[in-house]
Amino acid sequence: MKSNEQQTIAAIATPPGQGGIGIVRLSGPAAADILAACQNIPLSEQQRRQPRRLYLHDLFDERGRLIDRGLTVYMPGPASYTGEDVAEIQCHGGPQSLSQILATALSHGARLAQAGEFSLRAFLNGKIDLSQAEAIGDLISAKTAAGARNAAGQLAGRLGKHIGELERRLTAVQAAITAAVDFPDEVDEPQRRHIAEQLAAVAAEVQALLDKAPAGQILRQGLGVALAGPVNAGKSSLLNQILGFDRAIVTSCPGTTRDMLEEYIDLDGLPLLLRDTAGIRQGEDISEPERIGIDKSRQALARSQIVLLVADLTAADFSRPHILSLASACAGQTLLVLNKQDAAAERLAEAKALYSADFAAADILPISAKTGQGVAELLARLKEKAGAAQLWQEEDGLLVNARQRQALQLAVGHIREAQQALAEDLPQDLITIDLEAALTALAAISGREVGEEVLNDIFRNFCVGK
Amino acid sequence: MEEYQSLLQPGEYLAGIYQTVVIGGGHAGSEAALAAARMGAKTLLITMSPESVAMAPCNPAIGGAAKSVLVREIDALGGAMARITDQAQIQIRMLNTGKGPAVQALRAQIDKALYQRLMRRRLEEQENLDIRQGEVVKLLLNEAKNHIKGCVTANGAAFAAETVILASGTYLSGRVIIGDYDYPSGPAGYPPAAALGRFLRDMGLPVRRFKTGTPARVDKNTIDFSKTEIQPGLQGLYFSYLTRDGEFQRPSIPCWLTYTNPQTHKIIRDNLHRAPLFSGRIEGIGPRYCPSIEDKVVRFADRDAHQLFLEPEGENEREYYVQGMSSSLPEEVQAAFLHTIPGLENVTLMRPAYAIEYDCLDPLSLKATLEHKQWAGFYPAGQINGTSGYEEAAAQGLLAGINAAAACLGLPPLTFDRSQAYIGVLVDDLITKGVNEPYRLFTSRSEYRLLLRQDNADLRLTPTGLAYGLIGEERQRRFAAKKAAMEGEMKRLQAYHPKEKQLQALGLTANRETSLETLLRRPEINYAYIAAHFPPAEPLAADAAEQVEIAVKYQGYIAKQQAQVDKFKKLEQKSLPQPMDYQQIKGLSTEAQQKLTQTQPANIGQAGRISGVSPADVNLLLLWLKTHPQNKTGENDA
Ligand SMILES: Cc1cc2nc3c(=O)[nH]c(=O)nc-3n(C[C@H](O)[C@H](O)[C@H](O)COP(=O)(O)OP(=O)(O)OC[C@H]3O[C@@H](n4cnc5c(N)ncnc54)[C@H](O)[C@@H]3O)c2cc1C
Ligand SMILES: Nc1nc2c(ncn2[C@@H]2O[C@H](COP(=O)(O)OP(=O)(O)OP(=O)(O)O)[C@@H](O)[C@H]2O)c(=O)[nH]1
Ligand SMILES: [Mg+2]
Repeated sequence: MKSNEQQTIAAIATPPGQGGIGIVRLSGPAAADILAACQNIPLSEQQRRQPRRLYLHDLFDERGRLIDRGLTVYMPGPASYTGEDVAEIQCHGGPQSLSQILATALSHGARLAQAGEFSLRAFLNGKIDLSQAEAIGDLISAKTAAGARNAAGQLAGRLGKHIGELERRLTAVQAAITAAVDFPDEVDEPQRRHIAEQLAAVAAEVQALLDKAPAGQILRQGLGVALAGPVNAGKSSLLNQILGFDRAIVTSCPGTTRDMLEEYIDLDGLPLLLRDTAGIRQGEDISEPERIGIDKSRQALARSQIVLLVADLTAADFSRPHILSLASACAGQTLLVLNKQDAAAERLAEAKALYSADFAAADILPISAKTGQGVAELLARLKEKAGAAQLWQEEDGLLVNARQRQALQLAVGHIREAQQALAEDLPQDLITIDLEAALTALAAISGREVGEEVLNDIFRNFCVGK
Repeated sequence: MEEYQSLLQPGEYLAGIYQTVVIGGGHAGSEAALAAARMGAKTLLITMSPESVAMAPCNPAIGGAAKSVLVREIDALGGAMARITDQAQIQIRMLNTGKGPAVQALRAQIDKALYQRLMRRRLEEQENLDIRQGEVVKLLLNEAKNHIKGCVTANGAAFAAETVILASGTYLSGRVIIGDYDYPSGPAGYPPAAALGRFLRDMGLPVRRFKTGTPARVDKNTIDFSKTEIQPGLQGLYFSYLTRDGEFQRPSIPCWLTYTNPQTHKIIRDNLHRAPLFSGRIEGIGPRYCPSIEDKVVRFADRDAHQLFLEPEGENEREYYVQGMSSSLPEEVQAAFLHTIPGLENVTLMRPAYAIEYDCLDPLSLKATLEHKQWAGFYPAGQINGTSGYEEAAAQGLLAGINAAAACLGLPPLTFDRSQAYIGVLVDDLITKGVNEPYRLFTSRSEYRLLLRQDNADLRLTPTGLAYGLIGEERQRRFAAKKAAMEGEMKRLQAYHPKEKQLQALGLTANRETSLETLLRRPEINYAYIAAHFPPAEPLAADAAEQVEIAVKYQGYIAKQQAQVDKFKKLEQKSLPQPMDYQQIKGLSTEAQQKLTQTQPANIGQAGRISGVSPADVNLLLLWLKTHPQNKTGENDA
């Protein structure tokens, strides 16, 4: 079930953050159906249109609300990029429309494409020659590596926790039914009413999540760039400097920033999500709010594609032990920012020498957050790094959320089928087939092993055995 | 001949040349020997005590959830377990009625001694099969070819063979633990087999220690049954598709239910420090699904009662098995806590409960045929592969027996995938996921279980059995008749549209589309009703009628599962080379690379089931297969 050319896949085909036109691409047997559904026209009308020609049409979400106006094109296989039936939807509306269109395509039955999957299909169908195969392999593994490092970030959020909790509850229902089946002498069949209540509650919660999900969650697009470093290094000052206005409070008292701040900027067309974090320090005199802020900082490091490690040139050891320990918690790329150059210009050479073993010379950037000196160079280097980091994009923000959304949608569908089976008084074992499908859908984001989880739950919660 | 002579050490002599040698006469070994001999391979069964073949060292029961499907599958492939159970049962029940067609399960209490005698007779009657008493201490290795060529007993008797099935159960380096005592032993007081365990280690095979346990047996004459609840059985239920109603006259002896109480638990708690599991005397890994009573009392401390069943060990035996009270506490503690239980106040112990530790091999090194990947001709089967259970053992034995014989007779190897049989689920779990505790089948392990029911094992597997020469004439005839009756009736139900008047007369709503099939799909209507009001020309036998009813009633869910299976099959058909160097595939995650290297999956589907192999890793494998078409190992087309 992990890879299947019978399924229609979808993804945003244009690189994120670029202005102008964006494209959602679909490939697979249901491409035409889904394309028609996104325009709210019957399939027959779609089929009357000429292949490979652009049509201007309104685009609607799955509830029939207008998203945007855009161009659509249908390219039947085998004469298409992937060799399968391909559809594309182009629109101007920026990241939000694009993500809504993608979400709509998914709700009409497409599956979110895995990294490099369009190219993979093109290759498997003989559309790309052998010499490119290696490049595709590189693409798949680069994105996957990024995704894996990022996995902690994916599920750390509230939504992730919520999904984990829903999984736990479904697993408990599954385990109760299964325990009664596998240990009929020892465990009574759960009451149908109890199962019905549980399923209704879970289904309602999933639906509520879905209703909330679209705009809010998906908008959080942009390359995550965190500012991290010891207290008082000047992180908040740097944020203000980059933003061009005073967003964060700056004081000379260590531990000023307690809650994480997030701010979007458009860096020459590249959307960045800047995160100012609480300075991380250890010790007993840390207040509870500060400790929570510090935990958030750690998560931010794991979730951000780029981390600016801000060291203090006026500090005795140039903050090096601190910086190195932070670097090890980073999932993405790092840049070392040597701040307060204005106050300690004479120590710069020493600091650079000290850090030369840890960072490439090009990644060490002396600045003054106070005067703005060196900030332009820092941003230039940041843009270069971001180019490479774009490979990641698919795994973060928008698409992770699209994947969660799709998982939720699939899951709720299966739960409804289970509820129906229950209502029709079908035997309980049949219900487990639907529940297993629902759990499998959720497992696509959580990575849990459904079968093992059910057995673990049984042995934990039921006293069974000779 | 010479080839074999050269493998012998001084003092050893060539005692026989066979095509297949089976080591061990437990449930695995017995089925293996029968299947191999039946297919026509010249077979030897060598075991430490021929009078203890197919011994059931633990509970006196066959079948139960999931396991009963295995028993039916063994039967559908011509195996012995189902038939012998029908002949030796002293009580039979159908479990899980009303919970769904996939999980209904037969369970029989058996007369253990009778079961063993019947199996022994069946083995002795089997053509092409020799039986020999002896303890195997080593295997004959042709190291140049990595081929196992037979085995040698403690007396120096060497038996040469093209294929060797190792079914040594819980005997290898067996160690029994009761309270403060532990000593080398096999189960039930039989001697252990220490030398062979050492030999396997010396061969460089990774050997692990697992542990299992069994409760005490008490004297029937000292039980006060009036203080317990009776658990009667049913009549007219059979495991084997061959058994005819009334063919064997069997008694129906009840089991009895009683409960522990706080006093029982107090004695257990007070003596916990003497329990080897807590004192650390036991190192082997035990199964979570068979906790000892001390385990239960500790882990479920809030419960003030645990149920236990008293089960007869045989029709005439005084021994009763105390189900639910597995323990390795000292004997005197066992007696003390049993005496607190209603009905057991004055009970006399006939055998103490004990735990046993034994050697087993790592099933990750097996192919789906159960042949070892490093050693050609070597087929470990049964508990040696880290499983537990008579049925699990028998199923593996059958498969190993078929494949060992097939290899000698030039037949293609036989494997089952997860969508074909519980045997396939069992083997795939073993060879793909490996084992961290003694492995037992559960219904939840079988994701396509609605298609793998105990009632259709014959439809699924008997044709395969036929192709391998495992099926006798009688079974063949009965199978064909059932199939024809079922298919004919399905056609009739679809084609027959009752007249509206007819239906109105029965008080049924109707429309143009109403056929007997759509009628039968209604919750309130069963097949008996259809047969009564719209009878077929020939009345259907009960088993065929059951098939028809299930196929129609659960059609929606069956179709759902079939769609899942179709997806599953596609990846299962994309074979991976054996062996395969996963270092050469760039981009695989390190974990995937390690696991794939270790497991050497046979196809893409199996690769995807290995934990740690992600969908992206699977895509990289697909990509690799496509770019290396020179591997003629299978259908590589996407
Ligand atoms: C104490 C105990 C408790 C158990 N509890 C349960 C339970 O509750 N439920 C359950 O389903 N299963 C239980 N089992 C497991 C069940 O008994 C086994 O899974 C099953 O019998 C294994 O079958 P087998 O054919 O693999 O091996 P066995 O039945 O152990 O047979 C092994 C055979 O190999 C022979 N043999 C071994 N070594 C040699 C040698 N070197 N040379 C020649 N012959 C040899 C032995 O004589 C024996 O005939 C228990 C087993 C024990 C011992
Ligand atoms: N001289 C000099 N002082 C600076 C510079 N950047 C920041 N500071 C001072 O350093 C102090 C701390 O600055 P912040 O920006 O609040 O530091 P922070 O890293 O956000 O600190 P916390 O939020 O407490 O972790 C303030 O007094 C700033 O004025 C700089 O480039 N030069
Ligand atoms: Mg700050």
